[in-house]
Amino acid sequence: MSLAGRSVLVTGGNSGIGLATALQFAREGADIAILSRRTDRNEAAREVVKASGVRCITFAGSVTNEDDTRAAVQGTVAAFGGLDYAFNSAGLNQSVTPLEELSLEEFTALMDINARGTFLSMKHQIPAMRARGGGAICNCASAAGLIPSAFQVAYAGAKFAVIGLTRGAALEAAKDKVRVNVVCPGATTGEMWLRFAAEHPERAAIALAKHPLDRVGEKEEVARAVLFLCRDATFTTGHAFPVDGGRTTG
Amino acid sequence: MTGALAGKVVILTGAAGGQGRVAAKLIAQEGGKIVLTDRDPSGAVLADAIGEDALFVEHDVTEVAAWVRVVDLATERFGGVDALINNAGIAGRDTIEAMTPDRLRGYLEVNVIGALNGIQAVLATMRARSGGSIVNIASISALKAVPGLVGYSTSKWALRGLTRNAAAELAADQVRVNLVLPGAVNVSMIKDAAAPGSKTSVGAQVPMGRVAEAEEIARTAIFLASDGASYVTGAELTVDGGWCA
Repeated sequence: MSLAGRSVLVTGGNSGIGLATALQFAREGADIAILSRRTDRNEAAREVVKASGVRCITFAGSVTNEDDTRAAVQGTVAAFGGLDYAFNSAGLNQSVTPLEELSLEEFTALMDINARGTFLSMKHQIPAMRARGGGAICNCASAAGLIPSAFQVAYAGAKFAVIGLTRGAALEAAKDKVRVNVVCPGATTGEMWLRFAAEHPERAAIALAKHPLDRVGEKEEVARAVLFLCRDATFTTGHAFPVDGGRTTG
Repeated sequence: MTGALAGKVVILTGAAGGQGRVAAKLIAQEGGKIVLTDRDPSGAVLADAIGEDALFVEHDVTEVAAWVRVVDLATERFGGVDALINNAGIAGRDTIEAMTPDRLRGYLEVNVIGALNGIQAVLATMRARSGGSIVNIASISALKAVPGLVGYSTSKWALRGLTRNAAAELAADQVRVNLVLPGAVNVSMIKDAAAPGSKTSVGAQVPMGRVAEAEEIARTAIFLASDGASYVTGAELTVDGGWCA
């Protein structure tokens, strides 16, 4: 139980990679806080996390709303006595749409949830971790934040932004002993990929062929990397870490 | 035995150096069976101290025949090889103007060809075990220019290229290949090579305000070598306190 007495806030934490990561931290003994706008899943997430014998609280809200990200951090500190780690996994995938046909509404939503959400999350997490004497944040980009794909260019732009925000924040937060990294999953058994693969099987097959390990990653494999970055990688900050079966090698 | 490397057989080169000694102890703590290699025979003392799960082989990474012997001994003692950590390397100061072909070849011979020799040597046993993990140790001088370190830096850029290509090509065999890129570390070789002046002045250039402890580099290599990183290949993991953020 290497994380007994520690706390972690996971945005988008009641499903997919976010929930898998919450469970990974819970198995190490950390108390879990979840911020999600999909409130219908919060109760089920609480139950499955608590089965590991840790405390779990959930907050209803959107990472695009500063009141919500502030309240989640303050609520976590109030409930658990401080904030040690955060995994900012709330994200949005793009429809397969050529740039010239992409609506401003969809572009804005992608930038809002992925980039603005990461900014508003870190903005309140960093001071809480400073008050604790240090901590670690892991943001969630994508292999598409390192190598873009055609017809999902706004998603790539938003995930490139997440990496830029991460690296800049790492430079600022280092003096507070807060490390900031970003995990870049390839095709992974989270909800985003599974939905994409169901809707666009041919595109998914092409995308998967670009992963040299020739399989879809398990969401637990991403979760283990997040745990490593937060708990073990004590001298790594500002790093974009691909967990992508080799997708970004070429 | 529990631990990140429980039951795994790990070859670690450069095991008698400052970084290598720390890594060797940590690998053993994580449950790994370890083959320590080095040109420096003092590594035998460390292997004895670790106990029956450690074996030392005097070994020059530039010699193909010596690699065959290392893998044979690993197989004889432990049954095969699951992970290889190419930690051996040489460092030194050179300017472009003073660099000679022989000196540059010297860096490439150890830092690049030495790693290639190792990858080739373990491939058959890893295939036979349905996969494996190779970790190459470079430096953040593989990400940028470092005036005065042209030989070292060039060889580490080449090691980065070797790593990516090996990752893409060997994925079909379920052999993962990753790279660790330390910044300034509190062990002699890297400190002398990468950081003119005192330890304090180096730390001041690092956003985290200090140099790395050897344990921090070792822990990263161990994660990449372990099944914890089962979907990670071709990654270039910096351990630099934000120097290259």
